[in-house]
Amino acid sequence: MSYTQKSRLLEMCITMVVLFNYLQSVLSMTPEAQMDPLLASGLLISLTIQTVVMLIVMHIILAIFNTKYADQAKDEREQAIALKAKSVALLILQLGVVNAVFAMLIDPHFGFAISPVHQLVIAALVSEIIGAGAEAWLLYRG
Amino acid sequence: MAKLAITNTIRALRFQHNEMTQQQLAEVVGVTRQTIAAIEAARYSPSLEVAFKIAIVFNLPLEKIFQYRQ
Repeated sequence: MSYTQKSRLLEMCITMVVLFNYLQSVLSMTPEAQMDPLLASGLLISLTIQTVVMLIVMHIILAIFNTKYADQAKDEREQAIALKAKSVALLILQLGVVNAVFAMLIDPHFGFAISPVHQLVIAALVSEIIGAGAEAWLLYRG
Repeated sequence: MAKLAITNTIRALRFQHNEMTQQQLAEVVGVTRQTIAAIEAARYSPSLEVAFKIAIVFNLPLEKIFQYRQ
């Protein structure tokens, strides 16, 4: 397994943990609390801090165990695969944005368990997970 | 993944060059071992730059290493 593959797999796991924590926090809120900008921004800040800290720790640990490859740039095949995976992630994000806008339009009539703003954040996290997973899979397949 | 129309003789050439490993070739060319493995298995077509670097390592013209099947 290459260094890039390991790194992308771990990034996917970290994003899954962050998404799980975020979902847990959002679902435990009342619909009114979800729309509160102060609470929403606090949740976003904690999400960002969680992600950054976990990614830094992950990269440090990975670099310690793979000192030879840690400072190597991606080669042409890895760059091509990263581009393909990014296009998949972007498609998921676009679908998420369309879904959030649609939810925003019909939310006053139906009322969803998760507010559109949080749906947008969840879509971004899901797109990141799928992008990382697709990249790891394409790297594995060759 | 489907095999590409471009095949190569890198595996045979490595063995003719003191049983050079994929890792050794990868280090000289400046790519990962996985990329060399993918090129050998005809799952990935290298850029011209990498193809020329491989040709320089084996001291052979490009067409002796890479063949295009129509």
